[in-house]
Amino acid sequence: MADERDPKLSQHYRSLEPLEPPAALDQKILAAAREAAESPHAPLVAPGGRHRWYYGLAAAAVLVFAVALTLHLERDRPDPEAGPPLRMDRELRGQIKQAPKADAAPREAAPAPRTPAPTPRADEQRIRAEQAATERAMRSEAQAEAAASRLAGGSAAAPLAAAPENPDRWLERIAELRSRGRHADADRELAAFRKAYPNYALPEVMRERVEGTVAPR
Amino acid sequence: MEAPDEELMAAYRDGDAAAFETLYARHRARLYRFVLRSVKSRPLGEELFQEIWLRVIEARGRYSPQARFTTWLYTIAHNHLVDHWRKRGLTLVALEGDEIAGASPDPADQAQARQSLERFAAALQALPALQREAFLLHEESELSLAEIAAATGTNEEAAKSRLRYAMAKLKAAMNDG
Repeated sequence: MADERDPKLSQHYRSLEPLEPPAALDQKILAAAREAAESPHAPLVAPGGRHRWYYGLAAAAVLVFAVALTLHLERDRPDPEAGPPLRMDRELRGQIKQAPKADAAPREAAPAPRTPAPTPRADEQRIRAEQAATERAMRSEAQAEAAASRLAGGSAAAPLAAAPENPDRWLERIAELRSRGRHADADRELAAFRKAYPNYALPEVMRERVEGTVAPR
Repeated sequence: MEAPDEELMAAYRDGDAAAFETLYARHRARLYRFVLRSVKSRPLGEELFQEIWLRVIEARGRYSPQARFTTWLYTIAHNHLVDHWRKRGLTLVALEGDEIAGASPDPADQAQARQSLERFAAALQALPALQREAFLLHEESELSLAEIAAATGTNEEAAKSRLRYAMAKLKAAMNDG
């Protein structure tokens, strides 16, 4: 660089007006430097007021989205507590299939023909249909039991809410009528029982007792 | 023995505010003259001078002691001036030619430039921007040609050419009287 330097030219340049930054400017810069050194990661230009609302808006948007998503999932999700009773009901229907009378409700609830790979949506619909059918079946059973109870016990004024007669006890009572020779009463009760419990699978021994086909001892 | 600039800048980067004060004291006047004589306006020059130092402060985390501090400082200054000119729609073309970038010397200034120093000052202001920048860097920063080239984003030959053009015009202005 020495070959480029011209002493006379440099001297002229040095003779120009001496320029120095004013003290106030020095203080501003040094203050900024000190502030930055004290908070190493803080930006010198803080986010302006007109940008701060972005943070609040973003937080609100996230919150609304989270709530909407949760509600959506809650609405579409099957009731987890409906699972086990539903399975129990299906097991019960498996036994009832052997009953002499056809059961409309379980057939209605029978799953649609299986597809090679059922989608979650299809499963969901099947579960809902089964659930509805089960509810209908339970309602009709309760009504039938209540009606049968009224017929058997003569308590016509008994409310539907009264506990229906237990089918086993009812059958035992019919068998008792049969054994006492009250066949007309036994037949009437048996008809009422079958109306009330069309799907009840009668064990062979009990069937013989209530129908009077058992061999006399 | 005084600590080198690079050591001071590294210390400031690591949180030593006093190191920056020393560094600032060493370079403030030269950088101030470089900026003010580049823009020809004291208020604007002071604003740019402050902004350049704020950029230095903000960029401290990226400073690597392998780079010479002076080169780094004047690179920041050069880039900031280029940004400033771009914002004003000015470009730094006609670097090697004789065209005058920016306003011509005021006729009143020319009339007053009877004395050698005044002619010199007027000629300096009349230089194309990058020729003036090369000369100012040469005089104020004491950077080598290679360092001037690095700071201004060009090659050494171009930097040398700019400097020679500038010096030739300034000599001519001095000897004109």
